[in-house]
Amino acid sequence: MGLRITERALADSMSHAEDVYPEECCGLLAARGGHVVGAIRVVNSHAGPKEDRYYIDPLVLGEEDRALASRGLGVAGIYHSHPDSPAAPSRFDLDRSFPWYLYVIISVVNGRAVVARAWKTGEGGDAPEEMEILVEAP
Amino acid sequence: MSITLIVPTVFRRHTDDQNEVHLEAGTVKEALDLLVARYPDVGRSIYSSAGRLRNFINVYVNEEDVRYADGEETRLEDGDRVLLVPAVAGGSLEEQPFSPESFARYSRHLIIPEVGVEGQRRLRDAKVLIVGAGGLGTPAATYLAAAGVGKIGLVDFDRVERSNLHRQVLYSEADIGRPKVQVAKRRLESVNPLITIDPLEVRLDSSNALEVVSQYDVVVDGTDNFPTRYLVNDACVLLHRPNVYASIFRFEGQASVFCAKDGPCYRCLYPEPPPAGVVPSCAEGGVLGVLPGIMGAVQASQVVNIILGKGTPLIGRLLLFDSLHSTFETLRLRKAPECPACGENPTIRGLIDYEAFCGVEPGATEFDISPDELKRKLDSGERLVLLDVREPFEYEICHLPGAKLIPLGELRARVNQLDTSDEIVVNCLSGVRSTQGAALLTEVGFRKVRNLAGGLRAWANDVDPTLQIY
Repeated sequence: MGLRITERALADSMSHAEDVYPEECCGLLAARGGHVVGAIRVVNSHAGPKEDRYYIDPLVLGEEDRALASRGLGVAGIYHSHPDSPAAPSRFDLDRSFPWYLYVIISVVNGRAVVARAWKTGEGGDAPEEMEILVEAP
Repeated sequence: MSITLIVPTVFRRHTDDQNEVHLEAGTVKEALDLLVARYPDVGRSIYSSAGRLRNFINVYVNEEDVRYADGEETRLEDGDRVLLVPAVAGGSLEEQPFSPESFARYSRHLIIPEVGVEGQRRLRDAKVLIVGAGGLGTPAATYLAAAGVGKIGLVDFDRVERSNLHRQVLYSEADIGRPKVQVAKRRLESVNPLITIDPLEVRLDSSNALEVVSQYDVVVDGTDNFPTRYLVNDACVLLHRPNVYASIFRFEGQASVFCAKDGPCYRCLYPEPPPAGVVPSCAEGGVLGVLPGIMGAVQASQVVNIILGKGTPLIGRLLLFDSLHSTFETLRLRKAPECPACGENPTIRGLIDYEAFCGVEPGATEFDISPDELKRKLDSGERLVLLDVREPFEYEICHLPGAKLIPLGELRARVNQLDTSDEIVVNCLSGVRSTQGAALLTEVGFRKVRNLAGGLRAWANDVDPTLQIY
């Protein structure tokens, strides 16, 4: 099973990750008909240090979600970065994951976004499964 | 009630491609029940197998979180918009599994439903900064360390003094003269070896406060002076960190939680500091030793509430405790729309010079005379009038030879007992009251008035160690 994402959406999420390094970035994967067509930046609202945690204000998510709905799009998933850490979900990521979202994690090393990997989880964050990222034009 | 329930777009496939559902419901629970009855697949997504709303799904009514109203029993009115939305979070920090030792140590927490393993994990992952390792900071730190708060930063640049020991029970006689934060680190890590104490032996000021505070999730204000209190408040407002405040004087304590989302900050309550020297510190006015123990423990309990996200912290409320008359009261506090720090049009966008803001000028003023200079004048036989403005019971403990006693409160009425042609050196215990006394004398026409800088404490330190200081 693969995650279909436009080249631009993937590049935007990776440059977001570089822009806020050494903090974690977070954002929404905007999709239409099973294809991710945009990366929407969201403020990392984690109350403490943001180097290894992110939090998306639910009201912000709700607002972005409705704005996308009005354009015939929807939130298919979430992206965030792991500064100087691998692009694999931490136990904390899994514990807080929702089975209905796709997750893209970007590893940033010394300020450079080096790799993005996509994940899907089961109930309660069990059985995380990596998804192939299928980059589409443009 | 006709209401609109808005579901995340990701559920549209379960809701006939609608993300707004119109329902007739009187409470949040009724609305959710109707939603699930109509779209069972949504129910499977948002409810756990135990039939409770899944963790991290938030419900808002007109943008207000129902957890801060009546939860699922929150009543709905015509036209209300109910938003169902996930709270998305994550991060690279790997969680350490709970050790068997942790289960034993925290067992009395783990069996409280409001704490449990999840709450204990939150405590372990929390980072709390305590500003001031004194009367308030040490009891707060002791309970937070014992409760398993994973990382506690302690800011203080003082050393342990004998006069600390009647209330700062973390320290002992053998610690006198040693840096407080170093002693505290050793003691607290022996209370709980599973946590880390960061000893920060610095003076918190505008140059370092944002960097220090940003490393922590919650701040405990255990300061004993106004410049640092405003500094901590402003840093917490700027960085969106809850500021767990307490202050103490003699038999009375107060506590609140400032800078929380939608709550007031310290400046909403006190926009301006009192004139320098008007409100005495504990060093000047005294404090009952047990009082900071109680108020510091109140601060620790507030921190625990905040970390757990449970209960009703003192946001928008001021707790007043009177240990002499044995009363607890709470007053409502309002967020001030005109507050310069957290109001609608804040003017404070960075840290300022808090010493100047509070009228505390660092260094000597033209009034001041140092103990050494006073000693030289006395030794050379210069004619000086020594005026002591403390209370009679303090004068009994110690005073400078030949000092005339007029308590500060009586000074204005008794200035005729002084001669404007004399050179007068005003003294008190630490130099605060005497500064006011010297200012008062100048105001009424005295021209040759000096203030003994640092008071009798400085005199005992620099000139006469045999003086009985208290």
